[in-house]
Amino acid sequence: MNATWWTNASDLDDEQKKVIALDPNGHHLVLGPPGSGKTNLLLLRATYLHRNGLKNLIVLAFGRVLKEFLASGSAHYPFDNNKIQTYVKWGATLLNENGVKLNEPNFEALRARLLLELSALADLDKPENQFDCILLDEAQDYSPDELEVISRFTSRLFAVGDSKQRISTEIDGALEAFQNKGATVSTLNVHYRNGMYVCRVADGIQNQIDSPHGLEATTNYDEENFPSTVVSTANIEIEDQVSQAVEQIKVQLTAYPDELIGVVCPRRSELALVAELIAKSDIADEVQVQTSDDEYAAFEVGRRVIVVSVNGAKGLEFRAAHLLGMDFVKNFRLQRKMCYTAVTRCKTSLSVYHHGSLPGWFENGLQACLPPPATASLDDLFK
Amino acid sequence: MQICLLDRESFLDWLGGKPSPKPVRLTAAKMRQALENDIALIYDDQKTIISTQPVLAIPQHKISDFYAFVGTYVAGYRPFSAYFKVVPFEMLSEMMKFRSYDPEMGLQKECLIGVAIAEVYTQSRARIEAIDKISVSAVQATLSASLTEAVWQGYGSEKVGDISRRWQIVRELEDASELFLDPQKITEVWEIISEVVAEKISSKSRGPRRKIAQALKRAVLIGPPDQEWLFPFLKEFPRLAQNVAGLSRSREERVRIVRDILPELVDSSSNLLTREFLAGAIISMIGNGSFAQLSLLDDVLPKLPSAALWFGVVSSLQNGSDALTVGNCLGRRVVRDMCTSANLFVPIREDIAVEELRMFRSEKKSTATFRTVQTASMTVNLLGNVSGRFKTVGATNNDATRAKQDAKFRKNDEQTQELMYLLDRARHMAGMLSRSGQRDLFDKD
Repeated sequence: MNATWWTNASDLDDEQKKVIALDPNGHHLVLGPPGSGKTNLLLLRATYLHRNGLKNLIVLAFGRVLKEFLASGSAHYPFDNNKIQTYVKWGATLLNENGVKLNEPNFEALRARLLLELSALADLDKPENQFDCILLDEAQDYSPDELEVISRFTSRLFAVGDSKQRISTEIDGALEAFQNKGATVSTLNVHYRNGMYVCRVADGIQNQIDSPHGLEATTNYDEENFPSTVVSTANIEIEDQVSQAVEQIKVQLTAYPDELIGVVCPRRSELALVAELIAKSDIADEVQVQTSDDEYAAFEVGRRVIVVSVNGAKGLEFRAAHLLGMDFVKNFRLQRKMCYTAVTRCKTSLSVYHHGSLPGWFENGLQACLPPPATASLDDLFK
Repeated sequence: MQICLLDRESFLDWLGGKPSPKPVRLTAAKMRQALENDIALIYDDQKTIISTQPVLAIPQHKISDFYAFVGTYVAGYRPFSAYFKVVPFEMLSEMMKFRSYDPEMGLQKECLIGVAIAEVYTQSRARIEAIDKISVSAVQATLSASLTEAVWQGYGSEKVGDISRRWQIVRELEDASELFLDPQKITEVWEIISEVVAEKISSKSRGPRRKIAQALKRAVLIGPPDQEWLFPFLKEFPRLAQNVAGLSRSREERVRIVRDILPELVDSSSNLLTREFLAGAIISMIGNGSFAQLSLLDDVLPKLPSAALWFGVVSSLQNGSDALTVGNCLGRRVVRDMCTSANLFVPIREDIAVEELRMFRSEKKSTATFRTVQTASMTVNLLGNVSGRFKTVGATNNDATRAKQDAKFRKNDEQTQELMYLLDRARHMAGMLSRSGQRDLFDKD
């Protein structure tokens, strides 16, 4: 992970330059599609503010895998690893420092209690609980109330998000609420991450194929330098999906040196099986398993193949991504957003594997990457 | 350009601060006259360069003698070439030619430094785990770094060969250790580059060398290498011919194809230079010139040693080249200190010139008795404004001296330890004696 994705200042587009030039004070919200540089701009702002004397800052990620991933690149930032936290860990620590202990049995209960207690703590308005700046990644995954309560702990909240990628909360509207509270909004319209074919799949998921608002229409991806591909493999069991993926990954490790390769599953049960099978394969030394709800696992920079759930992959990006067991995505209520998030993790080489059928809109996206079929004639129908 | 002709006596007067005769315009007649004289001071009348100091032009056959003279009688400027630029008179017109680099060419001139990075990688026999581990001075010390300067300054293949010979002379004087990649192989690569960049492909260039030069010229003029670029080579290499179209597909596909083609290149009995060129070229094409793919050459280097250099050359022809930024901006840092201008009046930056160094090194007693900026290395002017960086004899001697000193220190240390042990024993005995009962025994005696 580099500190910047650009080599020269001229590589920045006008919208990105505007974000860089934002006032250091006040609340800001940056909106943009996947791959538009939101997370990178957020970390660079943290760097800039820290160098500007605002040392008491905190970067919040919603999921633990993203938090670990950001922390693994801390060599590029002037602040310590411990300034990058998950929202839950940060809130629990803050409450603990104020004599409130949380012992909720599950994540949802913990999240609800955290909101209540943080709100009560904010009401006390103690100066020692104030931060110079809070920088919030994946802001769409918070509820409006959570975002509001976080903003009460700082006069400088810098949030980045994209409502199309909301998969960690059922309650929509956090970004709008933050905007209504007076945050300055900057919008990034162009993105750089996803290759043309990957964009078409994502647009298919959103029913936006060939739409001027789709990812394909707004991509600035370097297709000439990294030609993109999408391959869909149907009707094979999960064990065979892993075997095929491993063979591909062996080549990709050479084709894409120093870059991450993702193995992503929607469900935990498949993820566990995939992790087990891949640990017995030839590429075991290159693999690390990251789940969003297991115990602490530091991100290992040298292991480039990341086995991760869709939820855990939020905020990450992979040069090549293998989406395994994608037929099981139908079990989730936010399945469309999950698929969109999973697909848009991939920059260049996307492989989708499934045994059962996929949702129709996903099929449409994959179909959009193939040459158009010849129009069927009347004779063909009777063949 | 103006000239002032001096004999040795008036030259010494001039060095001593007396004004020289008034310079006159440099004409063909004056040049002929200069060849018969000892020394000519050449002044820049273009007023384009900051230096007002003249360049000294000496007839080629008198240069050794000139350095012997100034080395003996001009003790205030030692080494003389660290303060005055001395050039062979016969090369003056060549050096004064205005050379410009066509910015429309597809070759990214500065990215040629990638060839020097690849040379370090090859000379280490691919033992360097990452380009981050290569030091700036290691790249500066390559023959390719010097020849990059030569090409930038517009020298043709003949002069590139001459500069290479001078580089090898210095290396033999300073460090006789054998290199994995023969300097002749490196020179051959650079002669072809210079043919492509600085001149029309010469008629003396024939066979595989001409074919490579033509392929490079096509890429330089038309744009980044594509599959058509390799067409002239397909007849000899059937596996390459079958797969060449795939080199523009996805990067995974390119890796598969290159893995399929490489054994043919390694084992074929075809011309070695062609095989080295193709291996470097197709591996460079996997990542559109990115140095992240350099390690793919590890297995072929023993049989195709100059393939990494070709990788660097082809990288500089591609938009994806990261030759300047790879390894924490290694290439860009090296480029910063390199001289791109062929203008003779550019201020001197070297410690010594090659001809004067030869004179110093021929005298055994006087090794390393001149000042250098670095204690263990020196920068040597090879020709015009082209220089090379070398580890000094002094550094090698220092290694030996340090080893001797280490041995001496170890011996002293052992002796000190022994002495400490004896003192400790004595202190212990004295302590025992201080006990009253024992002391009484002694006192009674």
